Amino acid sequence: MKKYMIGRVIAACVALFLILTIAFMVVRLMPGSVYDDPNLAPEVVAMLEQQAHLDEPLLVQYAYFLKGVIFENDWGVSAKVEPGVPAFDILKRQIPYSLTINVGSLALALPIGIVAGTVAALHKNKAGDHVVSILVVLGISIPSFVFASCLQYFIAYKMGWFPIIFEPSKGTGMQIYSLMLPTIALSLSPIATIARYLRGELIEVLGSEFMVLARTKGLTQRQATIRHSFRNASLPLVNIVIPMFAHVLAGSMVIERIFSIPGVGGTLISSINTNDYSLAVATLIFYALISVLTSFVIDIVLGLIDPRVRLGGSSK
Amino acid sequence: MKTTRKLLALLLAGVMTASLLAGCSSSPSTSSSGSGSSSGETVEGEKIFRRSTLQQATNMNPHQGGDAGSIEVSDYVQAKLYRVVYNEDKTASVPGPELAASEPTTEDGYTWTIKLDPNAKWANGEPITADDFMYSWEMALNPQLANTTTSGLAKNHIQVENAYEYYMQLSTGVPVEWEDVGFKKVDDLTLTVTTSEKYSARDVMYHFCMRYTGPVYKEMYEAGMDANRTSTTYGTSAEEYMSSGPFKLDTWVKGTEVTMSKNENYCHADEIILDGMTVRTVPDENTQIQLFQNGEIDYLSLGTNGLEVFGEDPRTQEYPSTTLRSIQINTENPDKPYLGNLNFKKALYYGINREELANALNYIPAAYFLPTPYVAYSDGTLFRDIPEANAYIPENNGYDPDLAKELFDKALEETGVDKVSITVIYSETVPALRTASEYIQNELTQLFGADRFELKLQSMAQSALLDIMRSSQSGPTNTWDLGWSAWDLTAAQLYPNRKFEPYTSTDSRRFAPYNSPELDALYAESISEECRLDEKKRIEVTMEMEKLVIDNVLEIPVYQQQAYVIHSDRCILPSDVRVNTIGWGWAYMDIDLTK
Repeated sequence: MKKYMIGRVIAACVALFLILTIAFMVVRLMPGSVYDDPNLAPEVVAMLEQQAHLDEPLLVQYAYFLKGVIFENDWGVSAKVEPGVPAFDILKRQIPYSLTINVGSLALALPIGIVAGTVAALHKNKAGDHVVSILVVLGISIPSFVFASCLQYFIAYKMGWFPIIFEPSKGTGMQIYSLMLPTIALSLSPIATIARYLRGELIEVLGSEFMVLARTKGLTQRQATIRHSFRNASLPLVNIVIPMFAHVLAGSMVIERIFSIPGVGGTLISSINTNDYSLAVATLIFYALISVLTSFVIDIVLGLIDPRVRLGGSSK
Repeated sequence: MKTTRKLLALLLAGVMTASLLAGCSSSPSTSSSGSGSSSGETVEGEKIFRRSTLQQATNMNPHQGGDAGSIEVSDYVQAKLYRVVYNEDKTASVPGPELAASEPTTEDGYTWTIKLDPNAKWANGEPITADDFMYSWEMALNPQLANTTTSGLAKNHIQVENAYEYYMQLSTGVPVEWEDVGFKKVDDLTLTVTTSEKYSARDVMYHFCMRYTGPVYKEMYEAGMDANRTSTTYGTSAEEYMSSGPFKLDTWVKGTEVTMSKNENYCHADEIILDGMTVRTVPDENTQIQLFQNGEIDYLSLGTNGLEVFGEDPRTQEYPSTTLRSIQINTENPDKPYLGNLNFKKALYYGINREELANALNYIPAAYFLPTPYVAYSDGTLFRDIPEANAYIPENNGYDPDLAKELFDKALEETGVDKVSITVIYSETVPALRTASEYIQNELTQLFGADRFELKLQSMAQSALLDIMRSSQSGPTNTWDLGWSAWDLTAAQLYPNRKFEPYTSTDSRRFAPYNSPELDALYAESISEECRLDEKKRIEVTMEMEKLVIDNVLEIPVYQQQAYVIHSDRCILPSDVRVNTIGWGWAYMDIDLTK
C-alpha cells in the first residue's frame, strides 16, 4: 500500500507541474497586454512591462515564475483585478467562500440523494420511483444557474424568506443564512446524480442471490436492504461522489455571480478577461489542484477498498 | 396506478400552490432607516445612499487601481487639491479648490503657487500638510514602485518639470534626482509646482483634480511597503487606508460591499448632507433589478433587461455616454487596395443609416468623431453645443444612399475590381456590436448589390481584436479589413483635442494606419503654447481636426452609446441633469426618509 501511495503522490506532483507549465504558457500567450490602457503612453506601458519582466523571452519569464513559486511561495502580484495585492492573498480570501457553498451543497446532496435513490429502488416502478425519477430528470437537465435564478426570484425576492444576495456585513449567522440558497441551487444536480446512480446499483443488488439468501435466513426486506444491499451498492458511489466535488466547483462560478459571492469563480473569469497573468495562473492552479487532489483521493480510497486496484500494476 | 395518479396530482397541486404564493406575496418591503420630512412628518434615522456596481473596487491607493470600481469609491473618500464643482445653475462643471485654499497663482506661467486650506485634515483629524503632498508625489513617481496610473501626475493636463524623466529613469537609463523635479514645499501650507511649459490656471486645477494627485497617509503607506520597497499594501483594505474626502471608508468586504460614513473632518463637510453610502458589488444585472425593486438599493444602471422593466418608468433618466463606436479601416491591406480608396471609404460612411440603427439599439446616431459630453470651454460649454462644430457634419447623420452608391461605383472603377469582399471584426463581449454589424451587413449588401459587395462578420475576444488591428503598425497586413473600436480617453473629456493623439502617425496605440501629415501638424498645433493659453484657438484647431477626420474618413463613426439609469424615490439629487465629470452629484445629494 505504501508503494502504491508513493506512486500516486509522484503521479499527482507530475500532473500538477505539467498543468502549472501549460497554464503559465497559455496565459502568457494570450493576445494583448495587462497594461493595455489607452490612457497610458506607449513608453509607460513599455516601462511597466520591463519592470514586470514581460519584455523577456517566455522561458525566462517562466524561470522567474518558478523561482518565485518554489522558493518564496510567491505567485506574483495581481496587476488588474486587485492591483498590488499578491495573487495568493486574493485566493486565500476567496477560497473559503467557494468551498463553503461547494462542500455545503455536497453535504446536502449526499443524504438526500441516498434517501431518494433508496426510496426509488425499493419502490421500483411504483409511485415513489416515478416521482424520484421525474425529479432526477429535472435535476440533471436543469442547469444549476437556472435553478439558482428561480430560487432567488421566488424564494428570496417574492417570498422574502432569504436575502437576495450574499450578506457579508451582518454577522456570521446572516452570512451563512445568505449562502443557503446558492448551496441548495448547487446541490440539485448532485442529488439527482446520486439518486439515479444509487437506484440503479440498489436494484441490481436487490435482485442478487445473496439477497434471496438473506431473506431466506429470516431477515426482513428492510434489514436485508440496510445490512447487505445498501452496503454493497454504496461502494461504487465513491467513484462519483469524490469527483463530483471538482465538477460542482466548476459549476459554482455562475452561482457565485448570481448571488454576488466573492468566491474564486468570478476571479478566474475577470483575471483572464483582463490579462491579469499572475492571478489567472494562480486561479487555474487552484482548480487544477482540486481536480488532482480528488483523483488522488479516489485512487487511495479505491486502493484501500479493493486490493486489486493497488496490486494491479505489480502482479506482473 | 391509482396511487401514482394521486401522487402526481399532489405534486402538481404543491407546485401550483407555491407559484400562487410566490405570485401573490405582499409587495417587497422597502426599508427606510433615517431622517427626513414630508408633509410635516419627521422621520429620524440615517441618510444612507445605497447603490450597486457591476465592478468591484480593487485598490484605494491613488497610485494604483485606475479601474472604474475603484474610482467610483475613491471619488468619495479621496480628496485632491482641486475638485470639479457645479456652476451656478448646476448644468455644467467647473474646477474649484478642495484641499487647496484658493486657485493657483503664478507670475511667469511656469511656477505655480498652491496654498493649502488650513482646515484640510485626514479622517482621523490630523492636518494635511505640504509634507503629505511631497511624500505622496515622490512615491507616486518612484521608479522602483512602477505605479501603473501615476505617469499622469508627471504629464497630463500639465507637464511638471523633470517629473516624467524621474518616473521613467529606469527605462531610459538617465538618472534624475527627486530634488530636480518641479514639486517643492515652501512651508507647511504652501507648495510650488514648476511646469516645463506655460499653462493656464484651469489646466493646473484640472491636473490636480485627478485621483492620483491626491495625498497618501505616510505612516500606513510605509507600513505596507515590502522589504524591497517595490510595492505597498496601502489602500488594499479599509484598515490600510486613510480617507481624506467627503466620506471615510468604514468597511470593505472585497468583491462584495463597501460602506462609508460622512467624514466630519473633511474641509467641506458642511456641503455634505448624507450620513453615509453603501456600495455593493453585484455583477448580475437581474439581481440588481431585484435589489432595486425590493428597495435595497437606490440607484440602478439599466442594461437591456433593466430597460425592459423600467423603460416606461417616469423615474428613468438617460444621458449620453462618452463611448463612441466607430469602424476602423485597414487602408494598407495589400490584398484589398480598395480599402485605401477615398471614394470607397466615403461610400461606407454615407451608406450607413445611423439613425435607424441607433434607434434599434437605444443609442445616439453619430456621424461625428467627438462625443456630445466633451467640454470645450472653461465655463462648461460642450463641444457639440458650439454651432461651428456641427456645421461640417454631413446632414441626415451622414446617411446619403444615392451618394454612397455613386461613390461605390467610382471606387470600383478606380481600383479595377468587380466585387468587394470584406470582413468586419468585433468584440464578442459587446452584444450591441453584433446587432450593429448585422444591420450594416444587410444594409450595405442591399445598397451596393450582393453581386458586387460582400460583408462577413467575425467576432473575437477584445484583446485578440486589438492585437490584430494593431498589427498594422508593423507594416501593411492582410489580417483584417474593418474593425469596430471605441476610444474613451479621460483627458479628452475636458480637452477634446487630446482625442486625436492616438490618431497621429507615430502613436503606438493607433488602431489603423492613419498616416495623415495634416492631422499630425494640426495635433501638434493644438497642444502648442498658443493653443494651451487660448482655449478658443484650441477649439478651432480641434474642429479642423475633426473635419479632416470626417472628410478623409480616417474611421467611420456610427453611434454614441446612451446610458439609462433610475434613482429610487428617496433620492433628492442636487441637479436635474447629469453633469459630465461630476456625474449625478451623489456626494451632495439628500435622502427623503419618508419614502
